[in-house]
Amino acid sequence: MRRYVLSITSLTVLLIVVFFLSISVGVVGLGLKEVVGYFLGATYDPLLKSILELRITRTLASALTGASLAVAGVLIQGVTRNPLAEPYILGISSTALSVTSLVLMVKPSLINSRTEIMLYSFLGALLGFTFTLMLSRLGSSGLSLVLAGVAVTSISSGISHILLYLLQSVLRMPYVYLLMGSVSPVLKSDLPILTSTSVLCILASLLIAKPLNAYVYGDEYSKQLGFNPRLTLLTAATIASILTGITVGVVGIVGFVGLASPHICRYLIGSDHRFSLPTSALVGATLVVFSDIVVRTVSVVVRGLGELPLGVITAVIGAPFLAYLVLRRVRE
Amino acid sequence: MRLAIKNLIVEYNSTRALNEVTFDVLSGELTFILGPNGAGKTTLLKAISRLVNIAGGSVYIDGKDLKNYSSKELGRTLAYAGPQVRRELPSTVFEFLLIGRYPHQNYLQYVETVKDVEVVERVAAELNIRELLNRKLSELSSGELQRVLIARALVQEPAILLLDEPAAFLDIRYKIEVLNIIKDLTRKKKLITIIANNDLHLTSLYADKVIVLNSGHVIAVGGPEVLTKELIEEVFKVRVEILNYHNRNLILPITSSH
Repeated sequence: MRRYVLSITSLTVLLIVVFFLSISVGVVGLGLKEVVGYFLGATYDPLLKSILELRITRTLASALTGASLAVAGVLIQGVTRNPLAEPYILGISSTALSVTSLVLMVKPSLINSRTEIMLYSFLGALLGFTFTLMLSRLGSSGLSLVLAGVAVTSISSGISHILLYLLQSVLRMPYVYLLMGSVSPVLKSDLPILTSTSVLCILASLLIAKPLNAYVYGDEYSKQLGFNPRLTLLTAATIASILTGITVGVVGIVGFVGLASPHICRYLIGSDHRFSLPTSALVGATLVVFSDIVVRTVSVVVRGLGELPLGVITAVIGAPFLAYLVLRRVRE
Repeated sequence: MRLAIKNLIVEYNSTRALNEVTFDVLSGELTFILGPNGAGKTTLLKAISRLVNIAGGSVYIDGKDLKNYSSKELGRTLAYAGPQVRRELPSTVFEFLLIGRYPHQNYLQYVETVKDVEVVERVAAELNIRELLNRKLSELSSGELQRVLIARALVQEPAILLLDEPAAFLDIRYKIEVLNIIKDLTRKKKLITIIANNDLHLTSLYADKVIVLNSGHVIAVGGPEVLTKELIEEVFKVRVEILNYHNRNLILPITSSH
């Protein structure tokens, strides 16, 4: 318990630090004075104000994306009882994106309705989760789920590549940013729906923390302790799909955050979901905000080449976890 | 307290795993279900714990039908410790044992009470697994895991304790130790304890009551004296000798060459 309070406190401090850092980093470097001045309402320069507003939107979007994906990761690892599971690895993100792009292909005007895009993205995520789970039924080891995910990812990312390529004129941006994620196109008007859905889902996930704790040891434990394993699975899978769906709908595919965060979190405070869900949200938020700082720093250093996609940085940070976990599993 | 099982029928894909099983057990009694592999021992324990569906008959706890218990109420009354646990996700023994307290907690209660932690620590001390509390569940040996699984059931503080092969992976020292603990708890807390196993010798050492099961049928119910040489040789298809030692009949399997 003391460990939990300590972790939550230090992670919150860390998140606040990277949050302010993220607001000050960019083509126009801003000092602490300007940033704090804005929050105190002491900024009157309209240019400075709009730069700060853009950066705050971007940073909030990164934090919410990270928190959502991390919580989705914890939930998915719990219900699949598999430490290698994650929205991206299981093909959930890519299916969400291909369904979204398919819908956009049919009805391009939807690009202006973020809520509807998020809804289709969620349906795609749910579909992807179901596909992968069905496919992995054929094998029983933990790795078979990952292999099923690889198959689903390959198919659906192939589809979304083609569709998004054709859709470029509608999207009005290079499609690689949706395929590998980017928080730069997020608008201030997108924030309310993103924030409310993500915060509600994270709070809802806390309600199933105890059933999930029992669930990971087997259906029999779940039943014996007064829970319904099927209901736990359905609820967790739905919440994870909504969380994945909204991030894909708004920022595109950002992989490996859902894998790295739960593992960092387990190392810090253990695996009790009551504590790992909120802790993981903080870890994920910090990771993605930090990754976006890297994205912007690189674009400042290498001027004129545009920005790196966000998903590239999270992959560089998160994929080694997958390599490590797979290696350990193969050795066993 | 009385656990009464009346004409219990369980079917798996329309084949009968349990056929009209009927018996009574009283609290403070250590009951052993004895039978060869596939006799229906595990099915019987799971049917009593409502983990498999009952096709006919009923289970009564003090006259109250098991069907009428809410699942949480059942979790406070009854605990089943099977031989298995999923441990792909890393977690510690302490975290695993704490879930046993859930039936005693409010659903939204987020933090354990002092009592919850005390129960876990007391049970861990009783079963001699205190040094395992911070170990990963996945790193335990089969003997250590078995004691942890029994501990989890005891943490639930049930009135009815159902143990499926609790001693299968234990060495002789722990077999005796664990069964002594279970026997003491059964007497002291007036538990209804039912142990399913196929160890003839161990059963003859500890049982207050024996239920012999064969292909889903109850062959014999009663005190340890129902375990006659003829019955055992018929059911288990092995030769045994029964020795009387300090007024207890000990069953010893022997090879046919003697």
